[in-house]
Amino acid sequence: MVRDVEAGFTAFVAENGPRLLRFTAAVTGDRDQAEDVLQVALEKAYGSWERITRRGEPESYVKKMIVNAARDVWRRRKRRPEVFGLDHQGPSYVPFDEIVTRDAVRTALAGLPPRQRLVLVLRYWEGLTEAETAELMGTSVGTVKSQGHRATTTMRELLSLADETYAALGARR
Amino acid sequence: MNTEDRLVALVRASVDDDLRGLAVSADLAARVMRARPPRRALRWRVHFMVAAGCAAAVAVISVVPVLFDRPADPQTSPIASQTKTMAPYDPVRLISVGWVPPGLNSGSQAQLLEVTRTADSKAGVRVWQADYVPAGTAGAALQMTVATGQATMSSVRKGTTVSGVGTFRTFSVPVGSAEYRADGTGAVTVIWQPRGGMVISILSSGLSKADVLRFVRETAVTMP
Repeated sequence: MVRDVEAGFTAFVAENGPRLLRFTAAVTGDRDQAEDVLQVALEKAYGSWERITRRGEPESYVKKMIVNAARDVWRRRKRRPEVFGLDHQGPSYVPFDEIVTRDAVRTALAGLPPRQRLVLVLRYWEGLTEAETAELMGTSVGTVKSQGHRATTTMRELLSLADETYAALGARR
Repeated sequence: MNTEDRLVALVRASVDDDLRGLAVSADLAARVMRARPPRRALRWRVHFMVAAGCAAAVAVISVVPVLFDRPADPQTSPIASQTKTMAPYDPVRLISVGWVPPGLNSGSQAQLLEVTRTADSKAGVRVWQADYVPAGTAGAALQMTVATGQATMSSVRKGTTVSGVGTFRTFSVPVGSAEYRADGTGAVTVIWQPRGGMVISILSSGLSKADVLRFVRETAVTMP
């Protein structure tokens, strides 16, 4: 019986691990800590693996645990996730304007409070509906709407400020 | 493209960009399974032990009044002792450090001394501390803090957030439960609860994770 659980769990991680790691990194905003957070979530899931698989859709269950684990990390760190550096972009060629825009978006995203950032990532990157986002975050649809509204307002403000700054820089060049 | 769609596209592109090259460790599933065995394997054994323990307790509770035929003493009744809070006690004689990382002072130079802080006594906690510092002028250092009374792993964990970031991971110890965090800057933190009412925390810098975990595993705690 234990061997069945182990085999099932190993197969699940092999199949879904890369996707779950991307999800974790997106949710936490910290690729260095992503695997640690994913491991914590998987440890919790593995403790009840039989029950989780009986209910079906283990991936959504694990995602919920990832969101909870990420929230615990934020609480413990009591600071916002670190800004991703441009170092991670690799050697591929990207036009300068695009780098500037991505950098502005990255900085604006990292500057959001964790909950607002989480709503944006789940809604825009993961493509979830407001109801699905609320379910995953264990909160109400109303909260998702208000957090999402605040996040997009802040992002627009920050990005238009960035646009103005870069436009001014361009005019000076 | 309207503003909303442009924002969605920008967020998506930014996050995708940040996730480029991210790869899962090949041994992730194995690490998870080593860290936490499935509950099912232990379930029947635990159920049996709990049932046996309850049966024994019920038998004792029901027999004792019959034998002695006197009113229950609220100080010693099972309910009173179960709800009684853990009082702080001196752990110095109970802890014996078996191995100290090379280069650090030990023995009489690193003794557990009580630290008196108003906030701790208000919270029902007494704290002792020992510093293992380098024999020379610089290098690695390790500080062991022992809290007794109302201290719990979570309360100690909350108190260590300022000293670093990272996730705590469980590891095996001869007695009780323990977790460690290595934050990548050379700082390793361990929180170990060998028994209820006693939490030992280790803060170290410049030491390998293996050395710090060995220090913990070779520290013996005698149960009072």
